[in-house]
Amino acid sequence: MTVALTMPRLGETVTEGTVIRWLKKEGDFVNKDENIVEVSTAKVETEIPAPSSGKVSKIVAHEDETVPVGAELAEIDETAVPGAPPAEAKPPEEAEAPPAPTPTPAPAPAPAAAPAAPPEAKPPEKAPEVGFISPVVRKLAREHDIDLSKVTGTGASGRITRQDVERYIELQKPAAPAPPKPPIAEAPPVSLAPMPAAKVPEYELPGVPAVEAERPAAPAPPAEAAPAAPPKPAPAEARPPEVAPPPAAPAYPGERIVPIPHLRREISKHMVNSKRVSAHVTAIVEVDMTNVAKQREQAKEAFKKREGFSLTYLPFVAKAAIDALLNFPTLNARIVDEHNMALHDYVNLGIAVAVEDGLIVPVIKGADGMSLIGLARAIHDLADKARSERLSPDDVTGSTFTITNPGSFGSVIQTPIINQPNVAILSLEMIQRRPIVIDEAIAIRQMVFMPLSYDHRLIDGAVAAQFLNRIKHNLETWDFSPELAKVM
Amino acid sequence: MSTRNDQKETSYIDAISQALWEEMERDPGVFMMGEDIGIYGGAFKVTQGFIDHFGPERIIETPIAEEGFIGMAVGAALMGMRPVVEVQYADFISCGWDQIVNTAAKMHYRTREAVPMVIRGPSGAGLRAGPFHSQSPEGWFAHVPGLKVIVPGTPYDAKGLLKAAIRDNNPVIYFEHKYLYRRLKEVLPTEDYTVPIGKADVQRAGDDVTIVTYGAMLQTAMEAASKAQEKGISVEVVDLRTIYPLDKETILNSVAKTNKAIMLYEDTRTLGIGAEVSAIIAEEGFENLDGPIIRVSSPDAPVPYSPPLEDFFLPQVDDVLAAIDKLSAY
Repeated sequence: MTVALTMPRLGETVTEGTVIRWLKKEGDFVNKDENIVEVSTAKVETEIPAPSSGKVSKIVAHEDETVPVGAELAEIDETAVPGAPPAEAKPPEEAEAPPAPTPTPAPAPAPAAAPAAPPEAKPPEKAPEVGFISPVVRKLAREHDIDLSKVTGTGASGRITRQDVERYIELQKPAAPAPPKPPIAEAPPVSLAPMPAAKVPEYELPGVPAVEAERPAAPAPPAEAAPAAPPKPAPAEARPPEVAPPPAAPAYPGERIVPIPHLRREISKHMVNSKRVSAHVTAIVEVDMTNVAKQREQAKEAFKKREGFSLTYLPFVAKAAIDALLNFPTLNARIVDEHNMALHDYVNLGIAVAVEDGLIVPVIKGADGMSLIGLARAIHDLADKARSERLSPDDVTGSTFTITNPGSFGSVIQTPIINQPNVAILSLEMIQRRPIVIDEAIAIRQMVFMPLSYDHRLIDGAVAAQFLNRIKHNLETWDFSPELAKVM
Repeated sequence: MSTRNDQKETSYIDAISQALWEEMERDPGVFMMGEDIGIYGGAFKVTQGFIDHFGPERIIETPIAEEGFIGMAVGAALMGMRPVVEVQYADFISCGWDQIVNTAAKMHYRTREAVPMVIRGPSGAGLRAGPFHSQSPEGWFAHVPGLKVIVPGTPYDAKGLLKAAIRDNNPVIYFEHKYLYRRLKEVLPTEDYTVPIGKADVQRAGDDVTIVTYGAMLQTAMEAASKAQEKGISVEVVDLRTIYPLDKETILNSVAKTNKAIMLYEDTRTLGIGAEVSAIIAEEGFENLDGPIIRVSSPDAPVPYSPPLEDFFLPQVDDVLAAIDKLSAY
């Protein structure tokens, strides 16, 4: 039976995914749960495990193709077993040719745009396929000098079994012409009775290569057709959207055209979409972090020693924000449609993490149930996973609110774009010692700006300001020492 | 090889009792130690009546202190005695671990002094006895050079191997499967006999698939082999009998004939006896293989209390049949 491998839904807002790389080729055997393909979505790059064991009988979505969630990526033939030869020979061009772009009616601007003629690309004829050869079959074939491509296999998926070889030996015997002279004179004669495998005399044929090595070596596959000189910027809409357009030529001397990395392209789509969907407004509070800074200062050495990583300001801010979110549920919501919104009894906190090529938002599930130390660990853990590309789809989905931390790179004020489907995002900026007025005096305090971008469809400025002020109040007054005492 | 008493069948547990009795009669250096083995006759009644016949100097009741009395046995063996220690359940042998693996097992290597002793204990699951009274600890000891490890699967082998163990000049760990105690009976020879340590036994000859097994799983293998025969699949069953030293020759000869092998063992899966036998076949019998080597074992988990769970935990005939079907169709 054939099972379809489909593009999974890797997040609630994800509608499509792009095939990055196939880990298996057509004809390869794949085990259930073994990774078969790498895909990328707006949220994450991940490997997809095979839904069942079998042979990859057909790859439907090729590399760099973008397909909707649920679309078929490949077909897996469950009846196949490892090492089995393909059930039927496929025309080589179907198996090997790149996805043919739908022919465009528009006149091709350059000869390179014409679809490559397949015949030249056809792989050379291979030696007859004999499938998986077990050790004992290989041994028997070697000892009896048998060309296994002439033996009919009756094992699983046509595999040649020991019995098949023995039957073949039997059949060949009466009429068998003298086999090609073996290199050693005293090669044992073939006995008339079928020899049980165990009794076959052991002898060495030094220098005689294994059966399959005698086949003509398959010539190397032809090199991929060299890309033709890039044509003038082609009208992108003339091409099917799945296929990456050829790189444009530089317009100015000294300009270089390089492809935008995949993650970057996803971020780009995501950002533009968010700006289009949500009515962005940004409110900013200024928070005196001196309270937090003092407590952090006292704990940070012991924390580092015990936990193995540094205690940053982020878990404090997260803790303060979670309290505010529980008190202002519309900030922790999602707009379902024109008439409905989803409110959440929990906080799944997205944390924006800068990674090579871009930005990713792993999610701390159930952050409202976590202690300060627990949040610190979770943030460290997810950031670590993000940077080492170990995030799973689960790690990046389900957020109800997001915190971004450009302050760690020295930013003083940014107005972040909302991480869909959230309705608000909080930015933690750089903490700086600044002179401020307290009562009638000027004091030097650890100050920070905290911008909040929110979706005006659901949240008004008054609510946003109250929400921000709750965070501010929490950070300026909370005593974290009972929690920090645990690590001291 | 021997005349058999046609009248009376001997159970697995009685075969063990007979071996102990006869060896104590034969050799005054043989004596026993263990918890409740005297007046009570042993937790499973293996030594019932022994104390009346041999007296408390040769049937020594011990406190619950395995490390102490196993250490005593090592000392006695060094002095030329032939102690047989009963561990009430094989699971509790771990309390005497150090004396076994660091003292008994290494004594000859260090000093050239022989340590002729036997430690026997009821092992194995199937009696709804939970995680502390059902384990199969043979793999622990098979990993220690200097010990011999025996797990007999029939009354005949239980008697013959225990006698051989008592006469052996090395420390021997002898696990008797308590599920078989009163379930398995056969007619035994009337005269004295031993079964050689380190020799496996082909319990059933076949051509298509080899099952390598031991202990109570021998019965499971035999039943599966009979059922497979009904489908026309000829299964050979090899009973290892001795876990260490392993009888490689018998294993490899069988696989050379059938080209396909199933390891069936009651112990948990990872690093079990089946893994070792698989490795031997892969290393030394690779060219005879016509299919993957398959392990059928318990999962890597403690033995469950719950009867349905224990049945699920233990390899069953159907599990073996599935492996046979898979291999024969391969």
